[in-house]
Amino acid sequence: MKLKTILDLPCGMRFIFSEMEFASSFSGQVLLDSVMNTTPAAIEGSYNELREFLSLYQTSGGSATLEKCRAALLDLRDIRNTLTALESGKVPDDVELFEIKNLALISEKVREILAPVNLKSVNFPDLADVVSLLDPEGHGIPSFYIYDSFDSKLSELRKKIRNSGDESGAILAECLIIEARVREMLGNRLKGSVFGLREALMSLAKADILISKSILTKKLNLTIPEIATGINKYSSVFNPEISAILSRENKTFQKVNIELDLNKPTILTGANMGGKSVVLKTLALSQFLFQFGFGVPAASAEITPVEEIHYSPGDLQDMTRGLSSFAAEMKMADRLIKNSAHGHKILALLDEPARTTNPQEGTALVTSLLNILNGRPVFVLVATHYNVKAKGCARIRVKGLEEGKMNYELIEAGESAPPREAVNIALSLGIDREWLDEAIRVMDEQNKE
Amino acid sequence: MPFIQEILGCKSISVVGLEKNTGKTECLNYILRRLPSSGLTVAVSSAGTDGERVDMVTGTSKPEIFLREGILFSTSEKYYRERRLTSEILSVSRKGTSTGRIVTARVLTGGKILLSGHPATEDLKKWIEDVSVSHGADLSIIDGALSRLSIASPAVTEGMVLATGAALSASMDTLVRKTAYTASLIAIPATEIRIDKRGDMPSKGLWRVENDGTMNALEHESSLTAGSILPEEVKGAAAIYASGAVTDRFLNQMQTLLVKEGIQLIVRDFTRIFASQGHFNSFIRSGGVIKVVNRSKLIAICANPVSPEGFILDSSKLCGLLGDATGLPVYDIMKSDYEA
Repeated sequence: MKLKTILDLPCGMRFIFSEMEFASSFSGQVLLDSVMNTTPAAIEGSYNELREFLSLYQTSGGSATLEKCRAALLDLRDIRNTLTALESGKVPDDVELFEIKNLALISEKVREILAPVNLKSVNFPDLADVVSLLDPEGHGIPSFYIYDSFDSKLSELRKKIRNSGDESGAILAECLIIEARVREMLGNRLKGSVFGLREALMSLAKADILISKSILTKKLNLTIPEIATGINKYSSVFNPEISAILSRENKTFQKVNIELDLNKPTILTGANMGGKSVVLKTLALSQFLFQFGFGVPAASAEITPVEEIHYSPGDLQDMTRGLSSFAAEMKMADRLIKNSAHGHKILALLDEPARTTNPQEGTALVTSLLNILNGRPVFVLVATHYNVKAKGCARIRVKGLEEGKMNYELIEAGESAPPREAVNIALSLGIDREWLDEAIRVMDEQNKE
Repeated sequence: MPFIQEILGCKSISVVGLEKNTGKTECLNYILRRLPSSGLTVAVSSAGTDGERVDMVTGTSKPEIFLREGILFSTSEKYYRERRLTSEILSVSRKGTSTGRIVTARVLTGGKILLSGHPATEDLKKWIEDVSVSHGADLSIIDGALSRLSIASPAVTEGMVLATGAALSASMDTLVRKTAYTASLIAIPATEIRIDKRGDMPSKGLWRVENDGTMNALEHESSLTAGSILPEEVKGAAAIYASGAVTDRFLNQMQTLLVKEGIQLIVRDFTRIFASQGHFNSFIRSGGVIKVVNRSKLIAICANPVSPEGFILDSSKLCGLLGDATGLPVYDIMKSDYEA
């Protein structure tokens, strides 16, 4: 799964990406094209790289070094097509040679800047040969033409044009023939450096990504989590996007603690407006961030790598595929059941599944889903208002209203039915009193029955 | 040549032709030939595609632009490959055009080139800034277009040279009248309101401009639906900014809406005005005030008495009439016997 495919899931990856400041837009593209890590080793590898850059970024000398790097990376362009063409034997034109020279110069510069800090995560091949080939006069600036020094005849002919003009164009024509020959020679000699150039291009993008991730980690207060097996445990987890919106309004996000066990589904209940959806959204985001090698929004965390992340935000209506929200939800749950039966390790975050159908069938569907998933290698967190009586599930709930104020803390809940706070919350919203009093009366009648 | 002195007083100029084959390219070459060859870094580019070796419409041959050593130029990749000069690439744009990205280069041995340029006004503006800041250009020259559907407006430059000629009309009277009208549009003064535009002017819709320069969108998508604006909506405004085309119909609607209230009409630059001379004059005569955001100073008019169909107007009579009608210096660059 590529990062770009989850960018517009409603878990907030788009926000994270938009908060990243890449020196070159090419690095952003490379990141979007990167594939999600699923093994502990791959995630550990990503985090080791991030740790290396982050610890450098946190020292004052190191952050100055990385700033210098970023300045050099500003002119980095995607020239993969040029390199492929060169490899296949196409004679490069001046614009392509300019691009190659530019890449080699940037790479050599970044290599020089980073040499004293000796980073293990990025490796820049020696491109001094390419630079000296394309910069025969040693100016060290990113400009290019077929220099006089490539062919002794060129300088003579060009001098002639400069001194006495070239009315018929004959001298220029002669120059063009020599220039074409030089380009062919350059193409042939550069062919051997394509591997190195490509490595340099991708290493530069990688360095840019790691610097951007380091800056982001500090900016959003992210943490590098522990890699766990069989448990997902967050302390003081927060949603960076909502947190940013709240802080603009001088409010603070109430951080919460949560723990999920593999093989044991967790049911999350609680009042409306109690932050259940935010918890699911944040856990989905954190899992993606973890598996793409980013810091996660928590004070500390232990996270288990999974192969699939199923996040159902509640309203899955998929107009483009002609599915109603109920159908889309059912399809997703179906995939969850089938894939988990095949032993796929999954994180499933379901926000009020089957809420669009009648409570009786809805409760039955959710209960049976949890019964089936129980014991499979799946982390399941289901937020629901239904009184689900599935066996062997962990139960947590939002603490709820306390003296008219919402406490978003997550606490253990008993087997009993979730507390009914909808009317109280509606009251706090200033909803029509007559209606709510009538609702209380109806509830009392139901209780008597 | 006095107008070269005027050009040297500007940081950027554009050369615009009223019609194809009015001698714009000749005019540009003429200016380039006469600029001092040392101590001045000149950069040249184009608004939209230009510099075809053979005119795509009439099939007549067109002079290419000759650039001498030391001049900076920007053109698209396609035309850069076809250049007939030696040049050093300095930068390549990120943004592409229909003929590839824009290459900026310095001429090493003089020769001919086709210029093709920046598709939008903002790109043009940025180019002028970039060649000056990054490559040290003292004077930027833009080969502009008026008659074509050019989105990039040349009015971002300080100065402007207008090329007109027999290609516009075979009748000298019509030619003079049309040219004088365009010259009067170019001369529309810049608004004195300091518009708080936060970056660029909006590219869509109609806007209320208050006395303090703040702008608020009117609930009308474009100048084409302006007929439904109610007098209350514009009451108390200092001006109305129209981002789109100012047509005859729009001008008539504005006349009834704005003139009585003493509200001025602001447009981005003169290229937005598509209204005919009659309607425009009627708007002005009724007391209407129209101003622009970007204004270029019209430095001179270059007249080409030869039409692509082959007939030739009397050069000195044409120059005389144009000079009288516009109050500007007029040159027949084909004659080129003026003092440098």
